[in-house]
Amino acid sequence: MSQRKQHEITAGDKGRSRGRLSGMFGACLLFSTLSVASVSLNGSSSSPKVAAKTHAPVTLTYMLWDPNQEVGYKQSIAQFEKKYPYIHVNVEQVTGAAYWQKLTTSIAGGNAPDLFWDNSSYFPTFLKDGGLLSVDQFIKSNNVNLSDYYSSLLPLFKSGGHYYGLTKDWDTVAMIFNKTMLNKAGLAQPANLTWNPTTGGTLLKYAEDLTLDSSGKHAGQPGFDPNHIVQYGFSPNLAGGSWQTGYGNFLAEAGVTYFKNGKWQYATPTAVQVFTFLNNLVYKWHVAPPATVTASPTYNAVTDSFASGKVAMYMDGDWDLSTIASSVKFPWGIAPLPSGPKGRVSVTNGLGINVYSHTKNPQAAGLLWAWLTNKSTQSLMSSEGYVWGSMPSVDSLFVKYWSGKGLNVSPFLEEEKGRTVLGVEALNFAPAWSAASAELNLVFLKNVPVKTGVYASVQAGNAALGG
Amino acid sequence: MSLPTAISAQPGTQASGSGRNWVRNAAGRTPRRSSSNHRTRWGVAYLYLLPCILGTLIFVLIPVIAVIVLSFFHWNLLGSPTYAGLNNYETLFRSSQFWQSLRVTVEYVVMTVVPLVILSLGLALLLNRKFAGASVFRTIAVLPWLATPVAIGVIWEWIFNPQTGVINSALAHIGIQGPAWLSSFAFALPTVAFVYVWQYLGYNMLFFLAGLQGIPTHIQEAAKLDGASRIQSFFRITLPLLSPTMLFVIVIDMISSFQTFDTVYVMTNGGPGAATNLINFSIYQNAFTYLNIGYASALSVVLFVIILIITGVQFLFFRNRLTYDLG
Amino acid sequence: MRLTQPIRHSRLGPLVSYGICYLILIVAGLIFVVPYLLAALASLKQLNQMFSEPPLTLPHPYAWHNFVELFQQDNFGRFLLNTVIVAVSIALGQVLFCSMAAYAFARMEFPGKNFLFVVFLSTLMVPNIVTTVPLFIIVRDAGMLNTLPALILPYVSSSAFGVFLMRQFFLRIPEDLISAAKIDGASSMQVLTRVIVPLSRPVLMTFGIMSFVFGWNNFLWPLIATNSDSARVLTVAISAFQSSSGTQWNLLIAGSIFSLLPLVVLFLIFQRYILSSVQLSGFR
Repeated sequence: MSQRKQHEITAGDKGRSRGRLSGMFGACLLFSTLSVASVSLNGSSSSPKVAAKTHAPVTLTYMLWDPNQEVGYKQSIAQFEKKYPYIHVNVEQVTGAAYWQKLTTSIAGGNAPDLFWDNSSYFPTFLKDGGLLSVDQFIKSNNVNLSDYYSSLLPLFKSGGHYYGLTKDWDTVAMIFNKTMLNKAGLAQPANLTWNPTTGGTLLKYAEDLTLDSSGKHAGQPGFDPNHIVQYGFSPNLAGGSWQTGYGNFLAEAGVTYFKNGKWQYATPTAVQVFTFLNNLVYKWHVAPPATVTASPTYNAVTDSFASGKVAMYMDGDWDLSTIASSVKFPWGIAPLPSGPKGRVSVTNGLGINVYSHTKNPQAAGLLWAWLTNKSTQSLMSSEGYVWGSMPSVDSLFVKYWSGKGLNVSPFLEEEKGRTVLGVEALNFAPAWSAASAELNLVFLKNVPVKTGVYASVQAGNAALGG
Repeated sequence: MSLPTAISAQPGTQASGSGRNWVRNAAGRTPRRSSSNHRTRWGVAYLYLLPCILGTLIFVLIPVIAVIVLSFFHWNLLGSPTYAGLNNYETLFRSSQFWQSLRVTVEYVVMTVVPLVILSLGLALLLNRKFAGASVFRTIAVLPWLATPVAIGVIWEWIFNPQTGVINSALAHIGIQGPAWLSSFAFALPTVAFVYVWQYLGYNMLFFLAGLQGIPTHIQEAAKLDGASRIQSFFRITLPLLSPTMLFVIVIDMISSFQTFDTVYVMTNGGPGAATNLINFSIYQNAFTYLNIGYASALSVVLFVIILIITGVQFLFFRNRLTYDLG
Repeated sequence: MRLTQPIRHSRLGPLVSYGICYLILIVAGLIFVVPYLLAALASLKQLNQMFSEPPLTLPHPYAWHNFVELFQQDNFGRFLLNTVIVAVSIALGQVLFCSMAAYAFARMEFPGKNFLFVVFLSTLMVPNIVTTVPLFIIVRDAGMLNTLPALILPYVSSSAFGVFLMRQFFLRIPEDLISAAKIDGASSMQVLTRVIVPLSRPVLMTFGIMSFVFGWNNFLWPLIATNSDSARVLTVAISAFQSSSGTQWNLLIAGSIFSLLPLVVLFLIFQRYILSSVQLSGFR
C-alpha cells in the first residue's frame, strides 16, 4: 500500500512540475491524478495489514434488505464488536428486486458480502453457483444447540446433509384491519371469518359492509355505485408475485397443492376456482381494489393503500408491522386469516443468514454468523418488535413488545403453530418466478380468461425451472 | 435515456451524421495546413491520442467484439462457457417474450420521439418571437434535462401514485377517478414515455431554436411579399430549411430513447406483466438477475443491429431532403 | 401545428396572439418545475402525513429529520462523497484526455487520421447496455468490482463526443496564432496549453460540466459494478430505498431531492455554458 502511495505522489509531482501549464489544464491533470489516487487508496482500504497482535483487524460485510431490521441488527452488532474488538462489521442494506440482482451479480463477480440474508427459494441456486459455505463447522465450534430452533424451519437451508444457514426468524400472514372503519360500520373484530369460492362466506359479508361509495352506500346495498368507491372492504394483494401475502394462503386453504416434486402444481380446477373468487372480489362483488391499484411492480401498494385509508382490511406478514405502525394515523388491529374450505392455513417462511463461500475471513465470519443466529440476537430482534425470532423461547418477547403498543399479535403465532405451507425451493427460481408471475398478472388484470392464465403460469414457470 | 446517451450518444450521432462533412472539411484543409505542420512527427500525434485510443479500445471496441462472441455461448459467469452455436438466437427468435419486448420498445420509441419532435418544435416556434421572459422560460425548460433520471423517476412515480399521488388527487377533486398510471397495462408505457418527453423536451427545443435562428429572415419576408400565409410559409420554407436539425434531433432522440433504462427500473421494473419490458431492461434482467449471459449477449447484438439499421435508414431517407441546406 | 393556428386566426392583432403564447409557455413552464416543488414539499413530511393527507398540504411538523436520517442512518454522506469523486474524476479526465485527442485530430497530420476519427465517431452508436456484460467481466477479472475506479475508468478516456466537440472548436482557432507560437519555438504541448486551451475555455467548461452531470447521474453501470456502501453512489442508493415491504416514501423523495438539488444549483450557475452546448455541437 505504501508503495502505491509513493507512486501516486510522484505522479502528482510530475503534474505539478509542469508549472507553466495554463491554469485550468494543469489543475485538470493534477486533480484527476489526485482523485484517482485517493480513490484507489479508498478501494484498497480493506487490504490486510501485517498482524501485530494475535488477531489482525478484520472487516466483514453483512447484507440485508429490511431497513427496519437493520436498526435492530446494528444494535446487536455493536455488542458483537465490543466482544471482538478486532472485527468490524459493515451492515449494508439493499431493498426490493435490487437485492437479488446484487447478490447474484456479486456471487458471479467473486465479491459477495461475507454474510447475507437468504430466502429458501433462492438457496438452491446460490448453492449450485458455489456461493455458500457450509455452517456445520460454526455450529460445532460455537456450540449451537439446534433444538433451540423451530424444528420445522431447520431444513430450509440444509442440503446434502449439510447446513448452510439457520433461520433467523419466522413469519406468517394475518389480516390487518382499520379499527375506525370497523367501528363506523358497527362490526366486531373479525376473529373468525370464513370464505369459500362460491358464496364468499363471512369474509365477503364483512368486506361488503366495509366498502363504501361516494354517497355512503355500502356494497351489496341497492343503489350502490361501483364506479365511485371511496373505501374498499378488503384488498387481497392481487399480483402475480403476491403468493406469500396473497393467493398462496387462499390456494392452501382450498386444498390446492402449490409446489411439489420440483414443479408448480396449481393448474387444477380448484385453483382456477380460487383465482376466479379473488377476481370476483373485484369485478363481481366490488369489495376489493383492482389489480391495477394493488399490483405495483416496484413497491408495496397494498400497505400504502391501507395506510392512506382507502382499504379497511388486507393481508400482510408480521415483518411489516413496524412499517405499518410508522405509516398509519389511525387505530388498527390484527386478526387471523379467514379460514377456507379446508380450514386455516398460512404461508410461512423463515429467512436465513448464509456465509459466502469465498469470504476472506471464514473464522470471523463464523463468529458473526453464530452471533446473529444465537439467542441473544434473536431475543433482541423479538423484544424490539422487528421480527419473530426462530426460537420458540423468544416468541413471548415479540408479543410483549407489541402489546405494549396496544396490538395483539397472537394471530401470527397461532397460525405458525397451526397448519402452514412453505415456499418453493428450486434451482433457477428467479427467472421461473418472474415467468410464472407475469402470466398470473394477466389473470388479475383480466387480460386473459382465468383458466388460460393459471395454466399458462404453471407451464411457463415449470419450463423456466427446467431451463 | 440516462445522460450517457445525452452526452456520449446524442450529439455524437450528429457527429457521425455530419461526420462525413467534417472529414471532408479536414481533408479540404489538409494541404493548406500540412505545410506549416510539416515538422510535426506523427508519433507525437499518437501520443496525444493514446489515452483515448486505449479507453475506446478496452471499454468500447473489445466489449463489442466480446458480446458478439459471447452470444454464441451458454454461460452463467461462473463455470466456463460452453459453445452453443446459434442456440441463443434460436431461443430468442422463438421466444414470445422477445417479440413482446421488441414491440414494447418500438411503441415506446414512437411514443417518445414523435411528441418530443412536435412539441419541441412548437415551443421553439413560440419562443422564436421576441418577448419578455423568453430566457426565463428557456432556463426552466432545460432544467429537467440535467435531472438525475433515477431521482426524477422516483418523484414522478410518486406523483403518479394511484392513491396518494398528486395527479389522481387532483382528478378526484373534479370527480374523475384517475387510472393506475404505472401499474395498468394501458397506461404504464405511455406514463414512462411521458417522463422521458418531460425530461428532454426543453433540450430538444434548444436545437430547433438554434435551427430557426439560422434561417435568414429575408427568405421569409420574401415569401410574405409573395402572399404566402403563415402556415404556407411554415410548411414550404421553415420546415424544409429545418430538415438538418430535424434529422439530428430525430436520430439522437431515437438512439437515446432506445436506451431508456433508469426510469423503467425505478418506475415499473419492466412491469406490469411485461408492459414496459424494454429490450434494454430485458438485457439487464437476463444478464444480471438470471445470469443468462449468452442469451443477454444475443439480445444485445440484436439491439445493436436494430440501432444501426434505424440510423442508416434515417440518413438515406433524409439525404434527399437535405438539399435545402443553405450550408 | 395546433400552436400556429390561433396566431393565424387572430384578428385582434399581436396582443391576443402574445397572450396565447404566454399562456402556453406558462403552462409548459409549470409542468417543467412543478415536480421539483412537489418533491421538495414531500421530502419534509412525515410518512404518516403522506398517507393520511392530500399531497398538496403543507408539512406539519416540518420533518427536517428526514434529511438527518439520510445521513445518520443511511450513510448518505458517504454516497455523496463517492458520487462527487466519481463525477469530478470523470469530468476532469474526459476534459484532459479528450482535449489531447481533439488537438491531435484538429492540428496534426498522421497516417490513419480519418480512419481513426471515423472509428471514434462510430462508437457513439454503441448502446451502453451492449458493452455492459463484457465490461463487467473485464472489471471483475481486473479485481476492481466494487471500487470507485471501476466507476471512473470505463468513461475517463472513451468519450467520442468529447473528442468530436473539442476538435470542432479547435479547428476554428486561427492558424496564425498557432504558427506564431511555433515560430516562438513552442513545442506542441506548449501550443496546446498556452494557445489552444486558453482560447477554448468555453468548450472545456461546457464539456466538463456535461461530463460531470453524466458521472453524477450514471446508474446502470454503478448498479451492476458495486454492491457495498463503500462504493455506492447516490443513484444506486436512491433506487435501493424502494422496498417491496413498505416504501419509506418520505426518505425516498428526500434522497431524490438530495441528488437533484446540486444539479439545479450547478445549472443556475453555469447556465451560459450548458445552454451553449447546443451551439458548440455544430448547430447554428
